[in-house]
Amino acid sequence: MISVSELCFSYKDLGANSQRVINDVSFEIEKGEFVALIGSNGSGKSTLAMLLNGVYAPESGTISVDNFNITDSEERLTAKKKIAVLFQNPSEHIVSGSVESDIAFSLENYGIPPLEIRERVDEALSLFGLHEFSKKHPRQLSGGEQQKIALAGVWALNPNYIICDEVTTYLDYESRKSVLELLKKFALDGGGVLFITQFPIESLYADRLLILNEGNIHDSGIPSELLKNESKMNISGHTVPKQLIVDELLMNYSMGRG
Amino acid sequence: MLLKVNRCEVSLENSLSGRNFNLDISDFLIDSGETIGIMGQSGAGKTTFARFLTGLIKTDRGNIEIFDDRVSIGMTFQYPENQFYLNTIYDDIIIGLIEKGISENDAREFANSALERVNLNPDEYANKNHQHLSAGEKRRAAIATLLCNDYDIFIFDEPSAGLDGKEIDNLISIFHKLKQEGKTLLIISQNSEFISQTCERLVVLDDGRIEYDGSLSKFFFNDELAKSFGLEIPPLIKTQLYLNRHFDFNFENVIRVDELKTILDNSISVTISDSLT
Repeated sequence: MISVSELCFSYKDLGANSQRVINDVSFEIEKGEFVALIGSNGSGKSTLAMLLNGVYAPESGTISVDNFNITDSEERLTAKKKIAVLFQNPSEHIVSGSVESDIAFSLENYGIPPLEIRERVDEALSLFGLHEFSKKHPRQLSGGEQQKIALAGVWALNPNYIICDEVTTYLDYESRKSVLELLKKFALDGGGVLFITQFPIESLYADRLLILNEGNIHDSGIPSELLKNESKMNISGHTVPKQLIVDELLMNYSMGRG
Repeated sequence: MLLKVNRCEVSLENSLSGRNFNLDISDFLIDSGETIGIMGQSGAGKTTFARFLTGLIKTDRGNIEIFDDRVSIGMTFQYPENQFYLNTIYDDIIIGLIEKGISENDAREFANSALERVNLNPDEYANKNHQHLSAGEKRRAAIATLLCNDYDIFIFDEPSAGLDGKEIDNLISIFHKLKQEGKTLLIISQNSEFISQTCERLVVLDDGRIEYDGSLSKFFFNDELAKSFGLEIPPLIKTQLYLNRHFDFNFENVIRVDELKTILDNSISVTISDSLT
């Protein structure tokens, strides 16, 4: 389980100003649970992802991953190995000269034996439909394809939890669906997912939806219920998804017509 | 007519083994005041084509005919962080204006009003470094940079990416206003709902070629065609199609949700009054 408790974080300006971006955030993600998170621009979504990955150190509060504290210097590495984070801009992940070496990069750093790396890379390449690009330089591929490479790299690490920060942003419709289905499968197989998204409708894949507002978890509930709630969606910086509005119009119309 | 791409042939060479990418487009016309959506799967060549139009990449073969020497084109990039490099957002916005010979005072005014248009309060954001902005804020700052300029053709590469729903709605109204001002818009996006609310013409690229170029409504109301390219049919159009098939409707144009609601409410009241008489 990922357990976040009373987490606070501020960005320090070069001057004396500091801005509280994460304000007393607490939540848990169980193994096997797919949790979606939405919030307006600047509500702290990406900052939260950085904190969960241990890139930023919290001002106060704790983050533990399967009881290993990510802010404790001795437990940090064990905790970090259990979590993989995917960022919204795939080029931040890309470090190597070919797609397959990019996927292998983190595995090499974790000291995985070469034969096992080959197996895991091949599995990830076929799972994400990247075999035909395996020898290509990632920078020669489109934004959407780069995002798939980044995802494949994370997948190959075989983490217990995956944190996704708006990873479907640059993907085409079919790829978005396949990524969501893969993450759903990851959760069904016992992994935990935190899926930060700019598309509220995608949270219908999740078991639970969190709404982040001004650095605080404003709501936590069943996605299909929260998505229909106009005032809660307003707080999340969104509106009720058109899909749900037209579904309801259609239902009322069908009933009205008898 | 603003410009015509007689031929655009771009081949992205790859020293490693693997597929080469070829973009091959010919006889592509852009008329003044058009709103053109460019869609297609990842890797279809959308961004490459936009970079060709702005002259950022040279073609192996091909040329653009511009019918008026004064036609100007501006573009925002898929990754807005790639276009900011100065200390403050404000500096990044005004540098292009100053290079065009606009006074700093005027440039400041343009910058402030453009930031306000994208809902970034200039007092709060103008003096920030882009690294201190969230992804959605960077996207809006990049759009503001473009809005300061009086281009004839605006190209937006994934303008709605990373924006929350309210900011997407604001962007849609900015685009509608640009259209009213007679500007030509080329919008690259994976978001078919967004494209359907902003564009009248749709271009679908597949593997470097234009596979569809025509009315957006005709494309999405032919759902088999849209599906064959793996594009999502916008939810509203999907509902209109359902109503066409199962009730006595004949929708063939994109409408807004509130318009659909009125049509359905009226239709129900007509049905009820029919049954009473």
